[in-house]
Amino acid sequence: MSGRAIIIFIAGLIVISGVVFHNIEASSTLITQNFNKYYLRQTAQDIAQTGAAMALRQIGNDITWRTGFPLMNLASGKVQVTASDSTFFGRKVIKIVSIGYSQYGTSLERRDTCITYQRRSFVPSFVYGAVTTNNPVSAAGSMIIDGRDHDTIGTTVIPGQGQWGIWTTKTFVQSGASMVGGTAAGTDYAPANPGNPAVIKQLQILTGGYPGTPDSVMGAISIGYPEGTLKAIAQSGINGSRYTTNPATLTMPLKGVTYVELPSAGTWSPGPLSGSGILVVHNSNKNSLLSNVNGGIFRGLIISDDIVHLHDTIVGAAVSLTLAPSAGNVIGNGTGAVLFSKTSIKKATEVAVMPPNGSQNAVAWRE
Amino acid sequence: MQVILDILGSMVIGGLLIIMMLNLNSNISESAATQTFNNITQQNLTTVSDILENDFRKMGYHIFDSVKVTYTDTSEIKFQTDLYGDSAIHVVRYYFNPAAVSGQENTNTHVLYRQIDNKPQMPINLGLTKVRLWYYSGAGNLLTGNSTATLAKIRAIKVAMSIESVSAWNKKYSGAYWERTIKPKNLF
Repeated sequence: MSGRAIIIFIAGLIVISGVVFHNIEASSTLITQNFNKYYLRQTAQDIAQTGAAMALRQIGNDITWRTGFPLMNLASGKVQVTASDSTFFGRKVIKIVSIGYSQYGTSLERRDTCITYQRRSFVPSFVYGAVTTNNPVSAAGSMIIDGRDHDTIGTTVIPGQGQWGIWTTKTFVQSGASMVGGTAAGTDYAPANPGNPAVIKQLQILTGGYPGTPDSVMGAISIGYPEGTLKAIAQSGINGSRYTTNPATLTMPLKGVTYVELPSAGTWSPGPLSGSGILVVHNSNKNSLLSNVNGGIFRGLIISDDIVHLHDTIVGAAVSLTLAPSAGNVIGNGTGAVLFSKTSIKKATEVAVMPPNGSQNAVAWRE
Repeated sequence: MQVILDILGSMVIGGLLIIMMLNLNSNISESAATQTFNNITQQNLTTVSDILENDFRKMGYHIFDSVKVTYTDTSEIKFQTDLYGDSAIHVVRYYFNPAAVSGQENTNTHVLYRQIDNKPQMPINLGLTKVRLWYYSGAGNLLTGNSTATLAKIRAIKVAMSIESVSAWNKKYSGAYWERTIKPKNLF
């Protein structure tokens, strides 16, 4: 073999080797790219979830927060978050959409979207007034029933935002020095004796019938309260909730959902009732009695089969389920007050979350 | 004589150079092929993990029943979800049969099946040799069995997969392993 042939042969090998080197480098690059894509996808996902978590924290601090986050730097990428009121299969929710970007604005950009639907606090649609009943009802003594919207303290009235004072499917009798006020068609009526007829709704007819259970007062399955939900929440103990068949074991202040299930025709006379949340006194015969509640302040919603002698201050609302009340229909004949408060009721529904969703208060996540 | 010695010497040196170059070329070619097989294997792995993660993260979405995962086994899972976000609830099933052949050159590989409701199974035949599932409660306890109480407790699923190249290079298969604990938020 001549020297020239050797040179040509070696040159050929170098060219072939060069091509092979190129291939091996390209293959290595592809492996790196494959890993990099996986990493960037994961990064975008993490950023999106972090954005959603940040929004949840904001809502945790301020339930009215809907500002969202404009496109901003987060970790090694960017995030954009929007928050809005929405519905999720009939449930009132806050919809949070968080989009995470990695390598934003480059050819390698990856994005991932995380959507979460958070339970929104609400005033149950069956809470028509400060006091809502399915039975004849009367107020005596110096009882105050005020359907104007109050703050959670119960001292400040928020103009034009309230409900009726009394809403009943039967009749209402006002006696003694009791006073009734409320809001009708956006006009506030201060408590008076006799109360303004505009805020005392009697002989009301409810299409579909009056709710027969606590869960149906909340809105039933259509907004996430299928039968047994309140009881399940109470049994879960979430947010300080309690379930008991022996209310003597309860300690004040109440929190979360307190569900007292009494035997047929059972009575609970707690004395001072204090705390917040949703208080349910109910049994399957719908004849549990909450009576002689004296001297405390409860903020939230009371749903009881039967309520008499309510001498606490209730900042929120009270709903009675029974058609056949005991003790002469007298919801109060002492110094009690029922002051309607949307904020207190909303705060009560805010903590009444489904046990499986835990503290995340989430109805659903999609990612 | 001197010329003959020069020619013989150059032939020996040239021959050695050629042998070295051929050897180098052979090694490089083998490395290139191995890299290519590794790349394909890893791409297959990320493809499978993408599909699986995408489905698993939607587990329980739009399901208000406490039981969202309806069947569990070490090689099979069924769960409910509104998979496409169109309000239609689907049952998603993943099933790995380590006894069934894949039909690939690599006889170690088997098929992972993905099935939506009762539609035909979608075979994922990308060189999987092992797939294993574990189920955990919120407290991190390993769960086994399919009682309603157990299924309702599932909060996390650990998935482990081994994958090999579907064809051999030099009678060798490239391989990769992937393991991840997925905590679908809708299970919480």
